[in-house]
Amino acid sequence: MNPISLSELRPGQSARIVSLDQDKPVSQKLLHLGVLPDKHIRFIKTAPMGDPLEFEVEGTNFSVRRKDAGSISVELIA
Amino acid sequence: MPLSNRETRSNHPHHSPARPIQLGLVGNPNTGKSTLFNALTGLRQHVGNYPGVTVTTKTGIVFLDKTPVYITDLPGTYSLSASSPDERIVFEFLSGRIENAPSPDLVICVLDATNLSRNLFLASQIAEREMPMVIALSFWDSAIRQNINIDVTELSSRLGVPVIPVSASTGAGIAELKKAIQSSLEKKSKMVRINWPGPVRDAIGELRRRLDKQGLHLGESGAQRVLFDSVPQALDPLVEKRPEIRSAVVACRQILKRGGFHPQSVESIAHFKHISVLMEGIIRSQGARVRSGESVDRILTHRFWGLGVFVLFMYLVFQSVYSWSEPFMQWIETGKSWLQNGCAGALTSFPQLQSLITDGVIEGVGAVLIFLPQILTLFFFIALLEETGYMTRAAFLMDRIFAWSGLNGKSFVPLLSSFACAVPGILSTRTIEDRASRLITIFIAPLMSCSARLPVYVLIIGALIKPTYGPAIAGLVLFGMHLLGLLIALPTAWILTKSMKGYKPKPFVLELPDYQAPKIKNVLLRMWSEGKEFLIRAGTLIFSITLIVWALLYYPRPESVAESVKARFAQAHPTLQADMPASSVYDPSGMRIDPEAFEREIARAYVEQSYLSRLGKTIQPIFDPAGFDWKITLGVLASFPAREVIVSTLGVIYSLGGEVDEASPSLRDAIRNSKWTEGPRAGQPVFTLAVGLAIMVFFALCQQCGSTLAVIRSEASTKWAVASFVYMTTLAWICAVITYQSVSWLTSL
Repeated sequence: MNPISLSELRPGQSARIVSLDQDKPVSQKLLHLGVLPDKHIRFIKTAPMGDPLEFEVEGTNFSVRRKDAGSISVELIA
Repeated sequence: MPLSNRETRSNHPHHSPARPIQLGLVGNPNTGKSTLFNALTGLRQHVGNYPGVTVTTKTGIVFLDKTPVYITDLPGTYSLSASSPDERIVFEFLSGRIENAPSPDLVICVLDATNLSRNLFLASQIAEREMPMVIALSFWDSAIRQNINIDVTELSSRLGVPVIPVSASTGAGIAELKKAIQSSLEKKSKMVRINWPGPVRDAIGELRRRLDKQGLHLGESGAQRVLFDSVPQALDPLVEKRPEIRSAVVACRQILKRGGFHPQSVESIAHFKHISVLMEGIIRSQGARVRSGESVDRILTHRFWGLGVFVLFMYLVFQSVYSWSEPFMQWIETGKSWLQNGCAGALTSFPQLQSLITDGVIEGVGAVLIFLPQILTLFFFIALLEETGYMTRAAFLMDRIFAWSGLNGKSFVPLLSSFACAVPGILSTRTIEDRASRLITIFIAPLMSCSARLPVYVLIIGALIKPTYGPAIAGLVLFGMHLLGLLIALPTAWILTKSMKGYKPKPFVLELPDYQAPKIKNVLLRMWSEGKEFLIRAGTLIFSITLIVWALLYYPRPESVAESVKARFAQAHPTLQADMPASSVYDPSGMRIDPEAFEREIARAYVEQSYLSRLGKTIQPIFDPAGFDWKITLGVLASFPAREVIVSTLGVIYSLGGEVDEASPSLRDAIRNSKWTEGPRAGQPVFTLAVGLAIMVFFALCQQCGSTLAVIRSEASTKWAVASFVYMTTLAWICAVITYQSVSWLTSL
């Protein structure tokens, strides 16, 4: 399956993290929250005004902006 | 303190009998760390400000047996890698690099039992410092409810440090935690360290060797920060720019890359791998994990209902600051007038002292205390919102509005509160972790139209707009005045984020923690400490400003001014003897001279020749392009400590006494009838529509609030307070001139 950007997920979909763009400052913050390659990530919802987005990784719910979510690539879990 | 060569101190904490034991309390945000701190210390806590450190920490005393021990509650952080000053202070504190703050003898790591692996990351980073540690597992009862069963004994033996489950709300585990602290201090129990892959070990070792040669003696943990962090906050920026240092860092990162590791991610990946080995078989979940609040959250952040509930909550917050605190403010006002009248009565034979005590000292104390009801009610709600976890949802919902200006959703509550009063609004920016966002929010908060501007709007609209244009237009103008500051604030923020030196907006990563029931003890302690903080840090300055403006309006005080008023009255009323008390005389027609009118005239005469008034006349030409005469200019000057003062100043200057309010018909009439006495516009009315609008625009935008400046100074710096004053006052002048000139031109067509 081809990796897609995290921001392309639909609400409720789960995926496996393939990689984080390690040169983006947002990546280090996400890594510290345990958002690591190979972990499962679930797209929970979009904020009412369309941005930011809410995700869940191993019991941690967090929110990032759509632009920053674009630096994470994932594989959909069928 | 970005010092770089005192790292070694921390590795040898020395005990002298005179030096009390120091504990550090660290943990991720939202782990119940403050609850634990409050449970350990109770009221024995104070806010500490270290010189040169802009972040406040709380220090308290906890008794181990009967020995008092100091404990410092550090800001919540996910990592020692600092992207904000709040996070940076944790590293600085643990390394003992903060002046006047001794390095801790032991660190208590608070880990959320419902999210243990992720929380262990910070503990594992701290383990690299090889300092005695105790682990407190918070939210223990939630973990049990969620079917998370942790083998504490096994975890403790694998980690090498005591692990104590606590439930800070019931107090369970607190006694055990204290015992564990004692035993860990004796045995110096340190948490097991990560076994770094070879290339990482090499890179750290090489970096330490090369920095040593430059005279920088960083410990292992300090070297890791320099190696792994994209912006190595562990180094002084000046030191970091030295070419030898730069090239050492680059070379050592090359070692990592050659070993197949990315400098930015290797630390997290290695620690989490280490943790997953440590955690194997530790958690035995019985059945499916039940997470609290997911269904609640579906409503609270729902596209439609979420915004509705949000508006309702925020309306409550705003109402609390705007009107719930009103009765308490009334009590303070009443108490103040009662004291003023009492003192005035007792001191009639010492007029100078009388005025100093009543209009200077008591007024000044009142000017400070008047903010307490608003601060306390706002922080009641903020503590409640933070305790429950809704505050982060508010930031999540509102982020979109702020993102383009470089701020994030966390600026919403401070700005909303500033519509009631900027003082509590600015204090509430403490909830914004990112320093630059916080400074910018502080800077734009006073542009929100606060309730103290309302009397000015009501006076002008009531005198000039409502009678001519009707209530509908009057309402629209009032609304427009409230919108004006907001429309200017966000572009200001945008310009600031674009122009701040070296400022890159931080990526917005926001953890949305599980909802929690609020703990009333935490809420009350928060209100108490914020109120106390305000009195200590801003109170004295607010008091001094009030005193200075009192003096400028009171002095000089030559007898001749009162004499000439008496002489004028005597001329008009020939039977009046200049030395007779006004209250005992009648004019020839048998009409009693109103003694109050006589007193008001003397008051007006003194103000008219006061230093402030002289200043007003001197600088009136500056305000001439906005159509202000010297009386309005004096009102503007007198309003710099507090903008609502303009109403009573105009009252005094129009001989109506200082007790008039914005709804007084006499003041409205005085304004409408006021005419230019000299200059090219002599004989024309002063208060045209253009002047009225210009005054309102000026008051909407001008930094006329000594208390706000005092709070900006204590929360940001003197530089920011000066910048705020200069920016807002210039902006107000420009906009007032534009308003006056364009409206004058339009009305002359």
